[in-house]
Amino acid sequence: MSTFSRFLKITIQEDFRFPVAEIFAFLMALAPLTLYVEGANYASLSDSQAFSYFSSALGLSGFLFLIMIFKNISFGLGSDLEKGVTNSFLTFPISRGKYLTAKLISGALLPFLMFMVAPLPLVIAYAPNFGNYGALLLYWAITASGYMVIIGLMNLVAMATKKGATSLIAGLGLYFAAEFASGFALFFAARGNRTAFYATSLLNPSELWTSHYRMLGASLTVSTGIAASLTIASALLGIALLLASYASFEKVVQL
Amino acid sequence: MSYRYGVLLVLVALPLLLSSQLPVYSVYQVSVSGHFGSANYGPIVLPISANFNRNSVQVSLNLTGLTGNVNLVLYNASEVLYNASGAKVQPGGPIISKTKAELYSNKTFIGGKYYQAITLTKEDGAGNLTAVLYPINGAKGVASIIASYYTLPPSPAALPVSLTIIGIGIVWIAASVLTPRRTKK
Repeated sequence: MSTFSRFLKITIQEDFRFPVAEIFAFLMALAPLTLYVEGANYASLSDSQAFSYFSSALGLSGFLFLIMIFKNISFGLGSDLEKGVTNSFLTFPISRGKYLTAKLISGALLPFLMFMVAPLPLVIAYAPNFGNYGALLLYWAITASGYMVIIGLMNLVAMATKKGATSLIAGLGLYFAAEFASGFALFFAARGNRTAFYATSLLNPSELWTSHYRMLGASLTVSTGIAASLTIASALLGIALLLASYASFEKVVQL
Repeated sequence: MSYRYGVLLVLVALPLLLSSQLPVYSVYQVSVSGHFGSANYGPIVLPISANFNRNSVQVSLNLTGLTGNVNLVLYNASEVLYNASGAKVQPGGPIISKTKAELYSNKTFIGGKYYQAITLTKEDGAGNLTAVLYPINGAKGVASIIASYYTLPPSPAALPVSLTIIGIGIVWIAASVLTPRRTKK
């Protein structure tokens, strides 16, 4: 077993101590039960219905995924930097880049896989013939691109302040700020000015697709091209923040 | 071989098992009636005032107190959703899917009968329903429209699949607990 795999195993054991993984997996699997009282007929779904369905079915699981990210980054990376544990780990023959990669795999990628897999049994059980896997992939992509921005920012704050609590506050702040800003931006968008709406959708791209599928009314409809390009822009922003956190950890952060 | 994978399998399958045991019941139901009298030969309008903010609504028609026949047209606010005399779907706005409209088009509902659950699938979930009944063959008596939506029934496969996954999980836990662990010297 290579040093990286050994370190990854240690990180996963630390982030997913019993019963953390079990509780989150159970809650994520349980969350689509909110569909039970929806009373909708999901025998076959148009794109709009499918997106509405996945928003309802996976919304709560997505929030649980976000809580896992908050926990893993602030109490994983942030807390390790704060308590000097990172210094001890870097005495292993492992580069800073690989250290951060292991932290991201354990802290964000595994929770994302859990978010994709755990709710699937109920999602399929309530719409056995939905067949619209494109909408499911789209919902996963939107969730990933929106949360990548939060992950990148939390990493940077954790590295800058070397405090887990501060990165947690930054992540929570960004999430709620994005939610509130989306609400205000929608208010202006309904009155004809969409600039703020497009800007906030970089942090919260799901609103774009909600508008695209006319769930917010016909006056707020967004074309596929704009929705897709802004979602890609949101993903690129997330990737840029992640790369910045790598560069910062490699070159700037003094341990 | 960690017992935790078995626990994960059991916990992920439990909600599926739970869903298969939940009853199907009417979450919301509203009933409106109209009377075709001897002097009333025109259509009657029955506003179903509840906002059915759902993708599908099930509409039943109680004609047990009626002689003669009727045609039914359902509106979502001012838009025609389902026209019994021919599928007529307005462009734009919330609509019933064309497939459903065609399925129930050209249908006459016969007096003295109870028609169960015509499912209307809407393209998006918003709108007040209004029913209009057109009398045919001198319809007389009371006609009622019952609109409702029900809890969602899961796939029939939910029970066997969840039990299989839980079974695999339990076997996994048992195997990992019973497998002797290597001790380091």
